[in-house]
Amino acid sequence: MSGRPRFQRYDRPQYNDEYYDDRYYYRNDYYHNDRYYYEEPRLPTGPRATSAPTAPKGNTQPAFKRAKVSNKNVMEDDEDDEFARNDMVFMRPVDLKGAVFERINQVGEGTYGKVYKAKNKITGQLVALKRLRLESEREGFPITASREIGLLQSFNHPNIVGLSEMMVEKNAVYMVFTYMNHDLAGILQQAEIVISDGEKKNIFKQLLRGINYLHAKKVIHRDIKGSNILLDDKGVLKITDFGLARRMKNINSNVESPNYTNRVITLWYRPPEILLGSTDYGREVDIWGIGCILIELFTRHAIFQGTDEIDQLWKVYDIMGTITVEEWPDCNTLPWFEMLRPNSHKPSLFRHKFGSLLSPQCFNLATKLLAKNPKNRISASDALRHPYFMEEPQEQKLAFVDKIEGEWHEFEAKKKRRQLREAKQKEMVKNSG
Amino acid sequence: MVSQIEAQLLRDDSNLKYDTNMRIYLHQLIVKLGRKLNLRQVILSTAEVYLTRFFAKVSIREVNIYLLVTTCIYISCKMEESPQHIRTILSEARNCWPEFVPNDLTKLAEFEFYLIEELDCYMVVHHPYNSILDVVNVLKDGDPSTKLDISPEELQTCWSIINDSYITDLHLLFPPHIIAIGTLYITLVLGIDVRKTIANSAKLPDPRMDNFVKFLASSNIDLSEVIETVQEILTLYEIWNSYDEMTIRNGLHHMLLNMNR
Repeated sequence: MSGRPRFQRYDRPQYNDEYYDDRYYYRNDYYHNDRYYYEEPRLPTGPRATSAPTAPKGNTQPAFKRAKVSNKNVMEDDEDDEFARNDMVFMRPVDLKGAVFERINQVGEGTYGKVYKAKNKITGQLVALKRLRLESEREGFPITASREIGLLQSFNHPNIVGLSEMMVEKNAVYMVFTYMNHDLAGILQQAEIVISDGEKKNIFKQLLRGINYLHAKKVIHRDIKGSNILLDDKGVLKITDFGLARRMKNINSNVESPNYTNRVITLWYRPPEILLGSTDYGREVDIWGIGCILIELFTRHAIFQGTDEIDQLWKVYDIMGTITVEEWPDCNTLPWFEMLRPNSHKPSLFRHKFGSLLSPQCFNLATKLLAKNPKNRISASDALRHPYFMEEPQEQKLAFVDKIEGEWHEFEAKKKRRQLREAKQKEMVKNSG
Repeated sequence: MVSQIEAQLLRDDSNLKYDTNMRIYLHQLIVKLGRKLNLRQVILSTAEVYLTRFFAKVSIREVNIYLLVTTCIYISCKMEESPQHIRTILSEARNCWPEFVPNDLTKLAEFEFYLIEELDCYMVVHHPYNSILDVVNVLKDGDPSTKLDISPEELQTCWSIINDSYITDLHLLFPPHIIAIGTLYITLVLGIDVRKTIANSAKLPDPRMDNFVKFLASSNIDLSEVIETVQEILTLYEIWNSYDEMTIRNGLHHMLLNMNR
């Protein structure tokens, strides 16, 4: 060792090789709990995470232990008053029995696991808990999950959902997000919610801003759809679910193919190049989905509703017309182009179907977003400068969110429809019997 | 149970410390496995940052470092977007250290989980490799008074110093550009063959130093942090000169083999 004093670590002032034993004893406490996955004290987030000093003494644990989600529905109700009195306290240890998060109900479901609405018992804040199940993972931590975590931690934008915390348990990982009341799919399915043209413009602009941010960071979302676009009660839109997202490979795509997976994007929002088997696609795949959503804002249902991959392509051809060599000269290089060649040429019915529904500028933007050739598809930054955003009506604050009764996610909307259908069937059985 | 673990951990392994010598040994383990798997340098650097952060919380006497090194590399492959199959990694690790890496996929998967938890799920690491290129470009087309051309060989030297710097705590303390500037400074002062110069301590001052100092003065870079970086790297090379692998390895193996008993 040299004679120079070693500088100290910022995070652990006593850190030094000689202090090794301190660290050992520090850890050793956890063996009393007989746990392999030891728990480190974790401070509650937020400045209001203060304590209830009168909380029962005795058989209590420090509350800022790693949170565990339980089904407990009872919670002590004396906490809010304590906050009011201790407003000036920045941070203080909390005595709280059991879990920090109280699960309220399920609000979403996917292949990855489930999403729950939950309440932080200490701060009272509502959160969304996304649970990734890992029991079936024999390969360890799934790469999609590590991508999602890494990406979310690198984002900072008002229109992208923010990851506030992570929790690791033995067989599951929880991601903690701020709770958002609605998603776009859920809202559009409620016919009684009326959205004005100015509000539609606002929604769409926020969506484009979010996508533009992602695309500027060379991130492709790869699962744009209504249920991944969240809205809160203040009218802020946030893009969520980066389970399929990835950063673009840093290569010259003229020389080598990036070779991304073709199995991405929910069927109805899949662009033609993916349907034709492309693996060297780019950010344009998100733009097609954005175009679908623009139409959906006006029609209230998805524009191309295919039943499988091939049918999806026919649904696109039915409305947008078949691919011509003039608009897409190198379309025959796509892997499945020959295999999926349509029998007859079809003209585009897009103007016929939607020309009268949208304003001329809006229609023009939709055409550019839904260009079949990805090279002709408009980029997010160009779309933000489109004259549609200049013309009347100007974008408006989202007033409809105040009037919405209940909270609408696609998950709840589906449940409601299922209940309606079952009630109808019962009625019919009753009448016929 | 507790006393048993305590007894095990406090056994007389007095030469087993997480000091610079041990860290050089760990660094070489990572490099060895990385070469076998033919991985990019940045993956190894990320793995080494994970390793350093892990040992900021956990004692070296509690873990099987060979399994830990394997796990760090497995995760950093995923995070740097060039995933390797878990079997490939495990079999290569077993080729390197057959007596210490268990032939059990679930052990590796379980350790991965533990490591991610220990790192609080913060897995993205930024490295000085891009910063050094930026700095070199700025110096090349900069203001005439601070204009400075860095030759490819010198850039290569900076690059290797950065690789070595992962043995130290620097990457936990300072942002990447500080470390990039520090390595560039060392290269300019000591020449391409840094370690030789340290040993002989004979090199004529570089005439380009004036421009570099002017650049630093006008750059708003925190110079005290740069100095600390330079000091730390020089200390590392000094210790490296008296590094004795056999002592470290024997101590470690003694501990690991007794642990299972």
